[in-house]
Amino acid sequence: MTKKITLALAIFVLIASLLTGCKSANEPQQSNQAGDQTNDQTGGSKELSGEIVMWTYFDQVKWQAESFMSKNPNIKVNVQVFPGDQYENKIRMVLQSGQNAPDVFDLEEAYVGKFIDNPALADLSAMGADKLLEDYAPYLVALGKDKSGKIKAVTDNGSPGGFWYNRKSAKEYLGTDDPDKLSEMFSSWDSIIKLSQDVVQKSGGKVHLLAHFSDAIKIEALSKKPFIEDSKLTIDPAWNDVLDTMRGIRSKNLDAKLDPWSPAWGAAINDGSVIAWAMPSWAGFFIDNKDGKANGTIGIAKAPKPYFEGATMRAIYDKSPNKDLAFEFIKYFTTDEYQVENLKETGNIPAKLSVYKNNIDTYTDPLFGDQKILKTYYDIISQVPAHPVDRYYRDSINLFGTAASEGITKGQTNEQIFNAFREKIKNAYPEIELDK
Amino acid sequence: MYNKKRALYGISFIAPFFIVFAVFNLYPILYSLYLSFTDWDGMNLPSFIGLRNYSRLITDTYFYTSIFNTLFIWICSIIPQISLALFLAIILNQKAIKGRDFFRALYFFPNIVTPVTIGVIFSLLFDWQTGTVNKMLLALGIIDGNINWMYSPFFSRLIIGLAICWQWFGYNMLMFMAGLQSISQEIYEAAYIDGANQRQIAFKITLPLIKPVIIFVLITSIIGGLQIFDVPAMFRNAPQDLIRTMVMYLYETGFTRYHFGYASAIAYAIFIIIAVFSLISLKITNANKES
Amino acid sequence: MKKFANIILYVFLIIIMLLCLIPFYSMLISSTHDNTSITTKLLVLPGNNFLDNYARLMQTVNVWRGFLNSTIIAISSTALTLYFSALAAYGFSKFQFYGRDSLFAFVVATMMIPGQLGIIGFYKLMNDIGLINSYIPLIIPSIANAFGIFFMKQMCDTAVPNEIIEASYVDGCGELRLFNSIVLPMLLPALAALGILSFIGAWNSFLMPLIILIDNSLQPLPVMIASVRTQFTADYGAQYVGILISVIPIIIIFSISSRWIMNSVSIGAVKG
Repeated sequence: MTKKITLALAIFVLIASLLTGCKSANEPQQSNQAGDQTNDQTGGSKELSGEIVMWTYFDQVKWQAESFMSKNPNIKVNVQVFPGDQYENKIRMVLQSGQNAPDVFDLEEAYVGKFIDNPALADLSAMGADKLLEDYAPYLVALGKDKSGKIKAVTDNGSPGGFWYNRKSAKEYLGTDDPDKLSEMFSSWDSIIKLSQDVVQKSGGKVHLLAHFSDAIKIEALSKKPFIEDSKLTIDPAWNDVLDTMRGIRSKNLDAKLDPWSPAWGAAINDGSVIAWAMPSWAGFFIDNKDGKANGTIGIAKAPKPYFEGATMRAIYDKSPNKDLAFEFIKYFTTDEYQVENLKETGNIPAKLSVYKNNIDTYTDPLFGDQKILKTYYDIISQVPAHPVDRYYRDSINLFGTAASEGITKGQTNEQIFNAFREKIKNAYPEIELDK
Repeated sequence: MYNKKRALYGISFIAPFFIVFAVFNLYPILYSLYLSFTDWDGMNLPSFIGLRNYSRLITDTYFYTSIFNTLFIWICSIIPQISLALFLAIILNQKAIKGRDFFRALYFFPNIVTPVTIGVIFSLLFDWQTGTVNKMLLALGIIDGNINWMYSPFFSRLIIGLAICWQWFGYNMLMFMAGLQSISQEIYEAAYIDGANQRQIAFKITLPLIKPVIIFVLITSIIGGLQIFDVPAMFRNAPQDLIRTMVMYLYETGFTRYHFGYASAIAYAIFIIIAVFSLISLKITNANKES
Repeated sequence: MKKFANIILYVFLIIIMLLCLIPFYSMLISSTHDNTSITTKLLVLPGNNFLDNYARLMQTVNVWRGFLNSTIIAISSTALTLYFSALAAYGFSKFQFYGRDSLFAFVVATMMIPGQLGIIGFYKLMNDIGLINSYIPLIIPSIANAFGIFFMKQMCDTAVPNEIIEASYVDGCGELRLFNSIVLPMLLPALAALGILSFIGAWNSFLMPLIILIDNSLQPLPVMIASVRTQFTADYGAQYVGILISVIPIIIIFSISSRWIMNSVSIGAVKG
């Protein structure tokens, strides 16, 4: 009899401890995910279920959705990928007509500014997004804020940019392949020009330090005054130095003259005929790493200025009937847990500073050998200047970049380049008052 | 009664054209006219701004450049296109040439390849650092460094013109051959008997007789040539200022800059330009006919 | 002397032929090499990278799907063009009604309107009535093909004798049945020529599908080729495979039926 009672008790205790064990293992995780501030929403999230439609231009989102669904089995995410340059227009028209609009959609950093003040984008601040972004690099938070400071879009990764370099060529022509020493050597344009000359001389013109002079535009743009403020165009005089630098590089044949993102540019990365390229963190797919043949051959050093290029901004359609689900989806990508998984599975560099700090000494990517790349990237990402986004900011930089690259290739003076740029602004934004 | 009923049938047979034309052509054309007086970005509602789009257009250097580019490309394509087509048509019209059908088919073939594909092929062939043309010229020792074709104001447009010529010369050759075949053999025989040589026959008999076909080809090529879009739009590796045609500018303004109102005004301007050119060429042709 | 001139003539013909073929050859060869070779070497012989390039292309853009889409769009719009052009041409040619000639003049005049005049309004209209991302705006307008009517009317005038129509009419044939079973078959040769012309036109159309279709999986071939161009900016291997796939089936079809296609084009030109 006692035996039976002991057995029953034992079973009861076992079951009870199992149950509580489960509970205690589950609970903190859930409240973690949901954030403390939105407690009633956490209660709701247990019951949240349904299907949302997600639009993106980016194939990897399918993987992201899988990851989300494995943690949130009641929410089905239907991802539709639209690669190609018509995506922006598609989003635009769908937001205007409201027909077949997705619940969640991605906007590329290049044009997020054109959408940010649109009422069709849900106010994420009202849903508690500020709390989620507390530990984000400041420039990434600024990228998703509208003119009244409300958060309208959230990214899941940072896109810090630096000089990627071919280790073998760096060692041969610059004497070192150590990222810290190279960061030091690349810290000013004067030093870069001098190094470029050395490299050309040493290699008899076969090897170049830089692929294309226009790297200087991406690197310098963020530290310049925005071109358009209060509907007026102003050109920061500091651009003169950048143009002179670029002209100096091209006129002495110091760059390899390979247009960025062109195939020859991609090939030069692999064969080492160019030593360093200004590249954002997500550009690894450009390296031909078939069967791991490029592993350990690339390093990352800091550019003269901390910069970034591209970011996937995720927004919610304001009239979506599934805003709760959509927000749950966005929230998921701001968690440490996901950003670590994303880093390890896809090599995407995180947006959250805590993720850098917690993995800074342990994370390596086989492409970069034993370099602790998060360390380099942390230095960059924490210093990238935050700037407000509007419809002009990024586009005016791009227009200037085109005018400058074409102008220097054609041998124009600074003033001719500025005038060509003014023409471009006048054409794209006739409402803007020119400075001349 | 009988005739009235028949008339009704006749009207109902032609009605589909007019209904569909009204809905899918006429209405959009009139609606575009309205939009050309508005500012509309695709996200908000169109707002009426009067003639502002048109006054902007008159001072828009980009638009004038696009007209110039279009004409430049058109001339680069039409001159070699027509002369080559005519020459080949005359050669291949001679029964003595062996393999006529084979050559005819080969020359025509580029015409049925999608223009987008042709644009891509040519822009890849003439790429600065990677194009086959530069590599061939280097291998043959004709040049000693890659030529940046796309950055040259002359070559970039010439190459697009040649791509279009490449696409169309075979088609025009077929037109000319059809024209040549309608010339009766007796005229040639008479000329031979009179002792005319090949060149005299070509210039004194053949050319004047197929002049109507040449004029037809020219006029259709003006209307088509002023609307070129597919081929140059594929030249992503050229500075767009050099190769932007009128319709590319229309597309860019509407669908990449989202100035739909202004784009509508551009569409109307293109229409007027095409109308003017067509009228001029008709006038010239008529004047020729009279003389 | 004559022989010598003939040799020069053939050399010229062969040079032009080579100019027609070299771009295709270069494309074919390049599609079988990896990007490093494409960018750095002059390629004359095939390599062994075709399947790799093909796999990378297909990961993002299913060009075969583009083929299917183009075929669907081109066949349905050609069918509509043929039937309704013949019907309207028959109406203009064999019926008497008030205003017939001025209506026909109107049809001919619409041929002068450039295609992109109403494009923005068309786009807005389609967006407003929810036809964006559907084939309807690409197919239905083919009913109103002014060139088709003009071309078919000339054929109708000559190839369809009035006596036959009158005879059939006396037999008690209904007007539409008379058209379907008697007139249409008599127009077959002309329909074949017009069919080729409008099929090529529909197959090549680029601007309309570019702005109307949203889903990548719905796009016809030209739009897909263009998107390969923008998406694989640095991957020429994949680009070359893409354009190769867009050309190969056309080469096959053309080599089987080149004579027929060229005759149709010539007829279209002479009558047009």
